[in-house]
Amino acid sequence: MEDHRLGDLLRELPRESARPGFTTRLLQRMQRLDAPERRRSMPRLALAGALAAVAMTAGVLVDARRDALEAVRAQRALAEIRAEHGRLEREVRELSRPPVVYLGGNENVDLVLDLGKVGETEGAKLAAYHDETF
Amino acid sequence: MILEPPSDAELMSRVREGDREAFADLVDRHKDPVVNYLVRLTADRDRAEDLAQETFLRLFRSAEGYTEQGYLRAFLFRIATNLVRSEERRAQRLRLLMPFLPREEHAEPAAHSGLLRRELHREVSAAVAKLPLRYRVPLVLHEIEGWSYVDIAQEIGCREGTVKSRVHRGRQKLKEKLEPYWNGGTAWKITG
Repeated sequence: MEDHRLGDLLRELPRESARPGFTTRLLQRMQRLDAPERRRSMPRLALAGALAAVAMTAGVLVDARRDALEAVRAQRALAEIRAEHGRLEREVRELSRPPVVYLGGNENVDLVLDLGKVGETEGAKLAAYHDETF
Repeated sequence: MILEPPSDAELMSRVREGDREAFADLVDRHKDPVVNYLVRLTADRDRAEDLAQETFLRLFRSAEGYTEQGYLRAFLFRIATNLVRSEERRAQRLRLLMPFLPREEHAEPAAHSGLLRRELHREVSAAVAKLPLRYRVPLVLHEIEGWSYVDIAQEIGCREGTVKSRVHRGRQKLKEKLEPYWNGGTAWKITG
């Protein structure tokens, strides 16, 4: 066989082309190759996300419990303050009320002197209000 | 006003930034020559297509380290050649482990001239693909792809004289391989 004939024969070989969809298949293959990396990183991400969610939930629950306890404590303290306030108010009222003096009496009649009502009577003045008395 | 298509360098610069559209443009531009080159090196259409896909994948992966030297196709051919080399080394190791590989089925000679021509092409392709890679690559680049000796020498990193010698040796070996077919076959006499 002569060299030039061999050369012709080689050059005569038909030019081959890529099959239709070559580029699309390649890009799809690249996406598939990317996907396992995403899948591999997904569990880690998912785990981290789940842990974060649990931590946040736990945090929220702890916070909620703490808030609830504090609210209960605050309500109790407020109730105590209100009770104390009422008690003090009653005492003040008791103390500020003019005294009723028992003058005497029998089984049928009690003779009392209500200094509050005396104070309301026109012209009457409590002796204690007169400076000169004390 | 007609817009100039972007150069390979421009597209590669966009590929470096992860632009897959630019990559698809590059693939469309070079896929046929790469597939043709690989078919000639392997004589196997399916394998050539797979290797071409792998070639472009490697181009994409190496985009960051790619330095533009004005000839992307040569770079692609280099990747393709290295892939064929690696694959053949693997196959050689496999053959050492498995001495009784099934023999390739030989198609029956066809009667029709078109089929005979196809058979001739298949024989020549198969003979080329059986050449040692050091002869096959320069022979395919020079005889089929039409590269100059200088370009081949630059690409495979040897002297021009070495390339000439390898192309010559490749031709001789190819003739030896085709001789039985040549002398006993009918395909050679077919024209047109």
